[in-house]
Amino acid sequence: MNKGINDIKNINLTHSEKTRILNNIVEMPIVSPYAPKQSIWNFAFNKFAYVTSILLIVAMTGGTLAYADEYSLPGDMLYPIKRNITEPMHSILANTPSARAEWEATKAMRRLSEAELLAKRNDLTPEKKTKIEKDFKNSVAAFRASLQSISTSTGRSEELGASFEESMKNRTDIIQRISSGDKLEENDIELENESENRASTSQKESRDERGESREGDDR
Amino acid sequence: MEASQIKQIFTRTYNKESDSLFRYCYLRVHDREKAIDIVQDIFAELWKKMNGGETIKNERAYLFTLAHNRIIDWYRKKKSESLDALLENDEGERPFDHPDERSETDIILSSEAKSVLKEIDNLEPVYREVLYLRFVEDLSPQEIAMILKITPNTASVRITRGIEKLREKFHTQNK
Repeated sequence: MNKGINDIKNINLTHSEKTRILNNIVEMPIVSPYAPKQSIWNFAFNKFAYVTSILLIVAMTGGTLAYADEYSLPGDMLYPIKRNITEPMHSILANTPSARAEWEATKAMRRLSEAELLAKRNDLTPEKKTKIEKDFKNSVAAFRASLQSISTSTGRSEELGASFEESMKNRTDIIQRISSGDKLEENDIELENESENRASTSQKESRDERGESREGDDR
Repeated sequence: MEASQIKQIFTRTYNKESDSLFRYCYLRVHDREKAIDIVQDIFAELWKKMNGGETIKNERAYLFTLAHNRIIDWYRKKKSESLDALLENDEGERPFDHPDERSETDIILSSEAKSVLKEIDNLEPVYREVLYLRFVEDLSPQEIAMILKITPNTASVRITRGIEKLREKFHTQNK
């Protein structure tokens, strides 16, 4: 009987499971009552105020600015708005591990598109290239970290990982050509955009199917 | 208490208790990922309490109480059995897992471990959980009483009687 009890006691979490749970918990956004009280002047740094202010600006400008900056490239006047305002706002609104992973994957793809377009314009300077590479790596790292936080029982993590790998695979050729400093032609971009559209369409279809199957389960 | 101190105390408690709680949950929900979800949920609750400035006297008993309640909630949600059946079965006391056929992702138990779980499971529901908590998780009768919301005296009586019944079963089996 003692051996049986000792064997039961050997049922443990793996080291990676233990670390994953601990990280998920301590990264939870909890405000400690012991934290120093923020003054009213800290309003600008308050997350809620930040989102509200941006929404207000967007509403007042009719969304034109936000729309235009989505298409801006490094070096453009509106690019800082895209990188420092609209994208962080997206990040704040993506409040589940799954939404965060999806958004980080989108951001990584955006960086690649920017590099492609700049390369096509022959405007991909070493500085811009280094900056884009750094942002791309950060997004990929954030994407992988978010995947770790998604519960593996849902299968969502594998799905997002596969979709990201697929998008990366579609762009392998372009990435290699940018890295080697080859000049890109107009039709290269179109071809890549087309394959990306196909990937996003298949992702949407799979989401729709999942939605239908969930509805079916609910029924 | 500073945030770093809270984190340090929490991490220490987490490292000490997470395996026991995982084991307790796993043997009752039979699903590794679900057990992990429950463990995460329980420690998140403790993390919130600690950050909210609350002091918990007996963290171990508190965590097992949360696990006990979460497992009952899980069974209720699962709807595989009616709430009436749960209540009939001694206020939600559930059997421990000891199946012979396991899926690939599940933990493989030794024959001795299965035998212990099977014998505990064959006991009357009132003895099952007290014996598991006492002999597998080494909880005191006072802690068991807190978890199951019974008096320490009742917990002690159940432990003693449960041991006697378990001995009888093993004795009969070995004859």
